[in-house]
Amino acid sequence: MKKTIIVLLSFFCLAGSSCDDMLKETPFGVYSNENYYNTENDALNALLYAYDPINNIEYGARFLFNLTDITTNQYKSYNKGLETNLYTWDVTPNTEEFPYFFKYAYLSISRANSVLENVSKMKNISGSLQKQFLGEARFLRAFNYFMLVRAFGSVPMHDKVVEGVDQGQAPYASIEELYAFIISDLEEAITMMEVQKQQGRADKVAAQSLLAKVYLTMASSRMTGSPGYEWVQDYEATYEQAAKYAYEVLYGQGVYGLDPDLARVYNVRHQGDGMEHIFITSMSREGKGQEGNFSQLPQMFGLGLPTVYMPVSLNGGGGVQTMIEPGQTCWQYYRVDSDFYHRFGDDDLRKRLMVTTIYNQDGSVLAEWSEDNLTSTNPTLFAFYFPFCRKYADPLSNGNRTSANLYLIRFAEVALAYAEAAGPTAEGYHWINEVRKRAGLDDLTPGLSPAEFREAIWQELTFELAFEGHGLFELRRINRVMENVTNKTVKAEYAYFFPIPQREADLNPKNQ
Amino acid sequence: MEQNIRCFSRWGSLLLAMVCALSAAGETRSLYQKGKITIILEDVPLKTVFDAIEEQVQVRFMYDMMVVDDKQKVSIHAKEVTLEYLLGQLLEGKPLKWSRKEKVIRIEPRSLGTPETAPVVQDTLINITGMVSDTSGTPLPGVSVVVKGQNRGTSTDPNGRFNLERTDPEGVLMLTFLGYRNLEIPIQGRTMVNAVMQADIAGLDQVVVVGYGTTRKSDLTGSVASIKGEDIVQSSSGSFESLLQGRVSGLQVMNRNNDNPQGGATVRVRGISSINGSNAPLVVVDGIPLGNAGGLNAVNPAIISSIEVLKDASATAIYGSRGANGVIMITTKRGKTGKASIWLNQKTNFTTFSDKLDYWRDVEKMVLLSDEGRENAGLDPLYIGQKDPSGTYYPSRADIQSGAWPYHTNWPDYIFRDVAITNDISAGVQGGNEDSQYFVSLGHYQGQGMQLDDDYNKTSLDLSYEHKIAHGLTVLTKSGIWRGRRNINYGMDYNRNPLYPVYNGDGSYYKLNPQDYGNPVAMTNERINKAGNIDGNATLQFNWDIAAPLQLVVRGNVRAGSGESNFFNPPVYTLGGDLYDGEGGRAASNYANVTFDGYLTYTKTIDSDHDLTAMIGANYENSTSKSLNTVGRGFPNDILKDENMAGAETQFINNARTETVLASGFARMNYTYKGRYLATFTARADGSSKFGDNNKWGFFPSGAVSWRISEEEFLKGSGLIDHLKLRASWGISGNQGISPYQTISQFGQDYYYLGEEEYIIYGVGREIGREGIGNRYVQWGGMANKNLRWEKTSQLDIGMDLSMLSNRLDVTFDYYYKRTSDLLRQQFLNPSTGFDRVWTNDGRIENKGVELAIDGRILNEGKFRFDAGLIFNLNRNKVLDIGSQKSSGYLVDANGVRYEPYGEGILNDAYLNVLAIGHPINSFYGYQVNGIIQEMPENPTKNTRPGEFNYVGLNPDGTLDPDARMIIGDPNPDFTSSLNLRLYHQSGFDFSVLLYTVYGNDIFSTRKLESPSLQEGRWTGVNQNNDRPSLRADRQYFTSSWFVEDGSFLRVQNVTLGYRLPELNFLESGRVFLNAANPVTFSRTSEYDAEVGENGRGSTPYPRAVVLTAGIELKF
Repeated sequence: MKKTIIVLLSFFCLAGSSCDDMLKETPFGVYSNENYYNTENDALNALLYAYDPINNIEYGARFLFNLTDITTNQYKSYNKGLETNLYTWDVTPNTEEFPYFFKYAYLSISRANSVLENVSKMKNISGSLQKQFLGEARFLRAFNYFMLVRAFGSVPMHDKVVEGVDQGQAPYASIEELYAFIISDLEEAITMMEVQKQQGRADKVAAQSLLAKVYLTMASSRMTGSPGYEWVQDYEATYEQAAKYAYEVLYGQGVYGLDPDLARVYNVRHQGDGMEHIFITSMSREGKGQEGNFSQLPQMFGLGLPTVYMPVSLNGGGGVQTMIEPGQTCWQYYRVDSDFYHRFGDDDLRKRLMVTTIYNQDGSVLAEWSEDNLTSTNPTLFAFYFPFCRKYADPLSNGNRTSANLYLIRFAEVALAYAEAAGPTAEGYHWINEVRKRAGLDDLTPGLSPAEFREAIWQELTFELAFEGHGLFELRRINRVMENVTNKTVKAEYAYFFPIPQREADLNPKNQ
Repeated sequence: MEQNIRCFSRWGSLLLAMVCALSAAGETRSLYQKGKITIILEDVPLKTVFDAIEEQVQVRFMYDMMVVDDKQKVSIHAKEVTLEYLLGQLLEGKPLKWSRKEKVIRIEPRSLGTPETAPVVQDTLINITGMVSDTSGTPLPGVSVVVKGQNRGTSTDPNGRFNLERTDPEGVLMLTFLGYRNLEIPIQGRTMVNAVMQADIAGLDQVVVVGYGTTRKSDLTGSVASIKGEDIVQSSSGSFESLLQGRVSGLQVMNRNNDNPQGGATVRVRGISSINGSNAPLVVVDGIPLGNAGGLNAVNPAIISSIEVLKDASATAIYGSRGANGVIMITTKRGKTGKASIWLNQKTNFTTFSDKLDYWRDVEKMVLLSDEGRENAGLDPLYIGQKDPSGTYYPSRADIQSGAWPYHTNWPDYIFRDVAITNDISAGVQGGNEDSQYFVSLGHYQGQGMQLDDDYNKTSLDLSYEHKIAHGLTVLTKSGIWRGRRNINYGMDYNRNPLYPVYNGDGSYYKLNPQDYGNPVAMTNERINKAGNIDGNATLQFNWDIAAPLQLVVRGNVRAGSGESNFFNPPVYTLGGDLYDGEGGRAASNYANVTFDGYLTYTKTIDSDHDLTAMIGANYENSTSKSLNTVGRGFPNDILKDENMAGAETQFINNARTETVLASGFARMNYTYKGRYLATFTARADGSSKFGDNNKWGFFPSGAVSWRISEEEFLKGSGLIDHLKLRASWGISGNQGISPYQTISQFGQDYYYLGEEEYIIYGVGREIGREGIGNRYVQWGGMANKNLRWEKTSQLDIGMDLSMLSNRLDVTFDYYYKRTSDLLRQQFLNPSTGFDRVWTNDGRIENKGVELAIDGRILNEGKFRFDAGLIFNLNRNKVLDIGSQKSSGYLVDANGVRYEPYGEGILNDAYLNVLAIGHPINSFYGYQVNGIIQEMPENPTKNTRPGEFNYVGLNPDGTLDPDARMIIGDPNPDFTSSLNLRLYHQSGFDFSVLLYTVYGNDIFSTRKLESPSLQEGRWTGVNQNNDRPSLRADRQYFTSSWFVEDGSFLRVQNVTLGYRLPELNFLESGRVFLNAANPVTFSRTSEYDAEVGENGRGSTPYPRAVVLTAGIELKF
């Protein structure tokens, strides 16, 4: 009996002590660093996961417009509800767009970091694919930091995935450090990637274009004395760098170019094959899940009326089309300021990208836009108190799901960047005139001084890139925010840098 | 994983070895029994003698007539001889021998050399009769009379008499009867034993189940409340929890929707101690952890033998990481020695509303008030015979008045049952002999909710069998299987505008406008929403009395089951169905929990002064669960509905699997000195896979001392006090109530469209929640926290147990102080990390209170017995700490109150309940209202005119100053109490009443605003008052003190009238009863019923149900 007791007792001791290993958790149905990144597909999926934040409301699909275009003369609220405080610059560090935009840029950065850390270690991947993926991840990281530095200035810099609470409080990098980081990522990305056009992804040309824009921003900011760029040594030398990379885009490849047909640039059917689009998102009306997989941009711009039609062609004629599948109602959130509309020259085709006449299905006129419609008692007229932007239209939408996408980098932008960087040279004149010609305008006055020439480019950019998420960034880099934004009272302290969102400032203070 | 199997096999081989080794050693003891026989017969056939013997002794003779000539003549003269002697005489000289097996005596030819007779056994057994009465001389029926050590016994008949045959004259009779002290009487050779039993309210000898063992109530050092199964089965419910309300001291049960046929309740022991983890007590059934209390349908209340609630740390620490919220121990019925008895319980519930529904019956009044509200808002009246912008047609007032508008639908007729009927039947057989006992029960519950088509039914089969394999070794198996089916149909709006019909002229359902998805008849008939499950469990347990002081219990349990649910939202009549052209889904899940445990108990008395019990044990639990969920949208038609998921245009599939492991070792030591000084120490070490590598193991110690003052010489002689014990305990228990995988980084998943193909993409960071308007913004998580550990609750308990006045008064009192630290909560991260939140341990919360239970046997002599029981619970909860402001993001208001929202928004505000430091959990936060504005201000705005709320912080421009908000209410009660009165009459009638009260809690009543009957009291120019604002259609309502009402209530919870059936030949016992649950409630709120959830939010949709139960319990 004693023996039995001893056996039993030792058994209990064993049971208590040796089961430690079995307490290890096995996460079923959950991917993590430990079990992912095995195949080329894994790498691609993780890379696409890093692109994905851009598609969301919080980032490209809405808040980029709120931050950059609503804050400028392009839009006006007309006191019509559905407003963000950015219409009035009545903003605080807690204003909704700031924390979300900030967070989504970092989501993309964190995911890009994950790709950089893990894909570089992969063995089962072809060398060229590995280089391409790593290049894209670097492009993405640079793209996001470039967004952040232009929006918020000095921000925390992470070049690794945060893997514990203790790693959360990264120091704020200075604007100079951020630009150095962006440039080195893009230079690296250019060497790693090929020219390989695909909607929803970036390639070598996208990296060159972005780097040109980065140098252009540094140069013009320094030249105009925009706050925060005092550290840029020599703006002309910097302009030269911008010109160098833009030149590579304009002359160094055969895939992208200036689409001669302005309407086609904004035609939802030609987003994938359009030569103009260097970097464009790939939301699809066939996308499952939430907004971000599909787009609802047309609803943001269109009139809040049951089905309205507009001409298919910018020149009128060619039948009528809708912003979105008939029967779907838009929300008229982005309301174009009529003064901004009037600034476009009457001959400028780009003016027709703002709709002032709407039609019935049979082509008969339904209503004309007028500022007086604000007080109309006719419900149709009452909704039509601003000319609405038609750059984002998807008449083929699947119910409320559309394929309207964000034009993140267009060839025209690079062409104008080159012209600005190069100054009034023959090539400079050539590229601005190409852009003007497509818009149906005459050539720019020859013989302008460098200052006058750049002034003309900036003017051109205002019209060319309107409603595409560039507005405020363009004003900041030429130090004209207070001067140019006149239809609202800009909060001076945030004119050049939005405040660091409250939660970041609280949990990771700037001067600790 | 391999380790896992090794561990398993170690347990398995132990069990196996024990069975083999000991079953071989076992021997079956036979029963030799004889009566004295007197037979005097001359020259009769042998058969006649056999017959005479058969007549006198209960035996049967068996023989082959070819061998035994039973016609041969014999003569016999025997007076008071034993059977053996008689048979010896009878067969002497014949070539025959006899043998006996039980009652059968076999006569066979004798071969040479074998003795003529079977060995004679000394016959000393005697028959005993007797009567059992109480101290007043009233006979006690149903008292269990058992011969100690033999498990043989009987029970007294309705006249208190018993008869025990063939009993060892040196034996000891054990008499047990609920409510009376156990009695042991040495037989000392007597054949007539009468006994008087002492009433025992305190039940000091009652055996109480504690974790991994039992103890006598008198030896308890911790705080344990206990209740017998028969006390809760006067009513029926789909789950046992709701039946416990008001029954157990220290156990708070909240039944919110008591017409839910599936049952379910919120159960708390000593307050809320966790803010994100679970607060529900652990339920342990027959030693196996089943889950958290709340809606455990697995237990058939009819087979519950007793329930013990472990409350203080000394009692709960043995359950370590899961003990912090208290433990509810359920012991189910087992077989018993004696002849098989069949029992049958049948209950039928008739459920109706306790109160009239409050809705618009007078449509003209409704229209009038609607127009008044719109006029006050400066809006045109609605009822003008036109469509509004949504497309709803509003008939004109004139048409309504004249009757030209023909429709007036009384919606409740289409939504509710007049009487919901629930049938609850359980039947079973139990019995056995001293070696084997069995218990079988079958239960079927068919429940109806108050809303049409809202049903639940379940069927359960439970088996229990135990067998003594060998001396000291018993094997026990329990198994059960149950199936539940739920048809869910609730949430219909009986307040729907009565001016609209149910159907269109063509028989289709009437929709107010294209976006109207609220036609209750359409929903009831066209929508599918079902759920079901099949669950089974099996336990194999060995109890081995190794040697006198040492006992081993080893057991294994498997619980496994599967659940399924399906829904279909048809087009046109449901939102989802209309948006997606039909929306349907089917989900399936299954789980398996495997538990092994074993514990060794050592009991020793040294020098008669020192009693020592030591227990050591180990436990292993593995839980796995898997689920598969499919949702489809866009069906070609709604013929096949969700039966053809492949037909959906868009299909979503989701699956998940989790596996968690808990491994533990535990020990307990009880020491008693001279029966006066008692001490208990327990410790448990728990290792959980849910926690970080550095914190897998937690240690949970506790200690308790108690002093039985009544055993001291100076109190022993006093006639006043029978028993007095002081107790003190302290210990730590834990809470691991979070989902698994929080210590591992988890990737997320999304879609990305690329080149005409939709990629499913994965990467770092995953969705863990949503926020913002329409839940449009994702919250990101998935970061690992390797340091995650238990939530820890330390608890101090000081208590007293007192019995006095010859055990006629019994008082139990406890004071406790509980402090929970390392609260499991989600910490905010700075967004540049790429994550929003991560689970962490942060914050503290405290609960302190007193519990008092008084039981009195007020009348215990004469024809009537009258008992009364009072339970009083008081708990004070306070949030001490919710982490730093930065990490938790809490707010600081103008009064310096630090708080964070807790729970969802209400009215036009984002939240109502808050966690505020220094305040009780769930406190209400909002504006203060000082009546109604009566005077017209200089520059009136919509919000500052007479008839509007007079908010504190109302600016002259009509806006509200958010800084004026403050804590405006506390939904935690000051105390809860119940009073249980029971009256018994000798004739067999019994009558009992249970009163339940909750006092001093606030509720936030939105029905105060909505109830049509209250609209009458609105402010108007004529009826200027300070109680109720004017009607104004466009008024925005904010959380304010106006909605806060006193939630105190007193409810007659149960009234029972029962009758014990008189004895009949075939009937062992029987009882019929009528029970009314919730017949009357007294409260002052605008709600239908003041019993709302623990967050104090009202808007109970309809009155509490009154449940009339007619029941019968029979035992054959």
